[in-house]
Amino acid sequence: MAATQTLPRPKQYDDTFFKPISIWLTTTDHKLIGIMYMVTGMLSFVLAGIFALIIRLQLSQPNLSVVDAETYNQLISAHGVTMIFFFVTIFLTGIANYMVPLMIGARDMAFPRVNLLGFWLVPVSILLYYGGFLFGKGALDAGWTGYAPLTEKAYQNGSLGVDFWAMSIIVWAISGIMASTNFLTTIVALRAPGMKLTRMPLFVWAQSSTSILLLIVGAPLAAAMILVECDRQLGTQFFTTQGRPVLYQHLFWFFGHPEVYIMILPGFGMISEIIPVFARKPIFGYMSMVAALFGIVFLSMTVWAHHMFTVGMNTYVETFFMIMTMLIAVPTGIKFFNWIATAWWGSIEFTVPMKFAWGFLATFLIGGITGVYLASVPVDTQLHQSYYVVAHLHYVLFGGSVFTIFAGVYYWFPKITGRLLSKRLGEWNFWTLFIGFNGTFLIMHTLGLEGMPRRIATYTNPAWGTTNMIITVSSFLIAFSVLLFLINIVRSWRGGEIAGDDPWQANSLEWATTSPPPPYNFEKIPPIHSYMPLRDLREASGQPPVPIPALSS
Amino acid sequence: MAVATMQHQPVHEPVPEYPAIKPGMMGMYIFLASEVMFFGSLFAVYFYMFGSHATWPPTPPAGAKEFYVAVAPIPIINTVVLFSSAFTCHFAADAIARDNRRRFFILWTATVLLGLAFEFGQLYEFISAFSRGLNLQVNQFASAFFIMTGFHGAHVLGGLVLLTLILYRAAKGQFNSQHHVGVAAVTLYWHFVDVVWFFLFLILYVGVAYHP
Repeated sequence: MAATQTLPRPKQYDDTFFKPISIWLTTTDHKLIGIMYMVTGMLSFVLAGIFALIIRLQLSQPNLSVVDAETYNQLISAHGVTMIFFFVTIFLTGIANYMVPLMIGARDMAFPRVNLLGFWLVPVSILLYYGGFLFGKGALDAGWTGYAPLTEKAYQNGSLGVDFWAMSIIVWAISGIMASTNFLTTIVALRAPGMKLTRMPLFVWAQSSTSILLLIVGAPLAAAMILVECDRQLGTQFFTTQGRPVLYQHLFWFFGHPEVYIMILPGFGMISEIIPVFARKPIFGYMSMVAALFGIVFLSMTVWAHHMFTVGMNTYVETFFMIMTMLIAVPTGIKFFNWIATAWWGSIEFTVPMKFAWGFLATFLIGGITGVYLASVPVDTQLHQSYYVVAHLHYVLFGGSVFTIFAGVYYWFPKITGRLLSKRLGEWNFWTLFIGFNGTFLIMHTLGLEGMPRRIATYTNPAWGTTNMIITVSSFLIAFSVLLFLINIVRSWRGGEIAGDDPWQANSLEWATTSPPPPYNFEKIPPIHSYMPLRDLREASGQPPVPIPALSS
Repeated sequence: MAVATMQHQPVHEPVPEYPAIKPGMMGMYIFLASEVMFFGSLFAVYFYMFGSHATWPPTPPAGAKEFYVAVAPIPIINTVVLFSSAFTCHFAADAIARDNRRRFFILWTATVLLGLAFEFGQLYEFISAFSRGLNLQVNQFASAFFIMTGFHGAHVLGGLVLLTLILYRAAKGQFNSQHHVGVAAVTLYWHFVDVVWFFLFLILYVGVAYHP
């Protein structure tokens, strides 16, 4: 009987990534589209990182003028837009595009051609945004949020940057709605026999909750951008000074706050995959993890106005949003304790993905706690326009999303390319990133408490010079770390150690096929009797658990 | 009966049947959720402005008595036209599900024609509004009115393109009682457009004309 239950081994699939360009342009294979999403996201990451370095050079000492104030405003806007819209969201969509059909045992996404169209809208969106730099007499300079009436024609001095930005975000939202529709249909309709909803990997649950969020809030974002465009080009009166500028903030943050969960929930899913594998224990509290995800989905749509405590809302409204925001700490706390309980008494192996997972837990915890402080109306009123907010935001976005992205890449790179990433470079990558990240953003909290305002091109107070210099030096350590990561990717992709089908002794279905998987994904889908089908197979075949290869990551 | 051996037997579960709802149809339902949120945001914008104005709609420029769009005659005719197209569309989809192709073609063509009639009615309303000075720049009500009805009109236009595509595919014989997901999905979309119009008519026309 053991013989019938061993892993089905498809024929070795001869896959080279140097395919003709016509295949990359026209493929409807979710795996190739996923890779294209990830490459697009990584290029945006590098670009937005370069903007960040220029910003840090400008701020390293008082009264510098590396770039002039107008350029500085365009750079911080481009940094924010590129990181949020074109890197984190896009990269996570790429990972999900690659992994979700594999994890549920599907042949492809439900609508492969919609998938293709949805991907190609992303480069269109990016090019539209950067068109502002080339043809628009200056790109968006009102920050990534683009508050009205700053973006209105009367305050833009003939620049078309806002139009390029608004168009770009409309295209991006359409692409996101397409991807979300596709993910949800795939997850509901195309699961393999035996893959009940309660047997789906937690990453698939995380992606379905993310897709629900993006489906719901993508359209209000598009609506906000359309109304901004109508104000600018058709002369309507929505957000002008005669209109209701605060209404823009409501619409934008109704998208904007769920967007931070769109950027972190897939990361939560990845951590929920990685920790059980490397702690060699089943996830603690599977159902509570799923319930917490949907608790976050619900709560995240009831908290948007905590970004607007200083616009002068009704006190009772502010109190409502304060309490709802603090409530989010409950489902997030459930997830944290479940992860810790999963690792508790497990035989933990600190591989590179596991290191990134614990780095994520440490940094995201700080971001979450400062989030609870900032949710408090009186505290937020004091700290709103200061570097404290910048520090908080980067702790949840960089310490949260980016660390999980790195963890996910180190975890799934063997599946995508068939080769392991170098462990040596991976260790260097993790420690330089962890030190550089905390060096950059931890002391930003004190800078904020000392009163340094955010979104200023320069400052005159000499007392802030030393702290800012430490931040700038640390930010270059982050850049060095990312460089190590890119070198690792390129070197390992070309000549890394061969990974085999299942290098980690993992639990979920994507490891049951070859690495990289054939275009049809599975020759035979293994029987699925629990949410850890591969662990069941190993136990049924009586294999003793094999330790992780020591030399590889 | 040895319980111990049973535990080692692979568990035989009934193989789940193909989902009762086809992926194409499910995709349309999920997509319409985002459309609901799109029009929902526009309605939210409208009510935000309604609530933050002392007089709504704002007093029109001096001397214009019948300035804002009235309920009769075109809007009420348009409403009847669009709602009857919902019936023709529904029964056309019903007909193809029973392989009654002749009835499908008649009713589906009627749907396209009724949709076109609605669009021309809206166009006429817009042109006559512009000619009496009611345009997007006048005030916030006018902005919201034209953007909301305009985006609804654009969705009707998109629906007409879809309806025509289905008609073309049906002429090539691609639909029958076993294969009509495309027809059903487009019907669903057309019903959604109808429902949006119901709320637009109720709030932008009836609500403005008869509110206290």
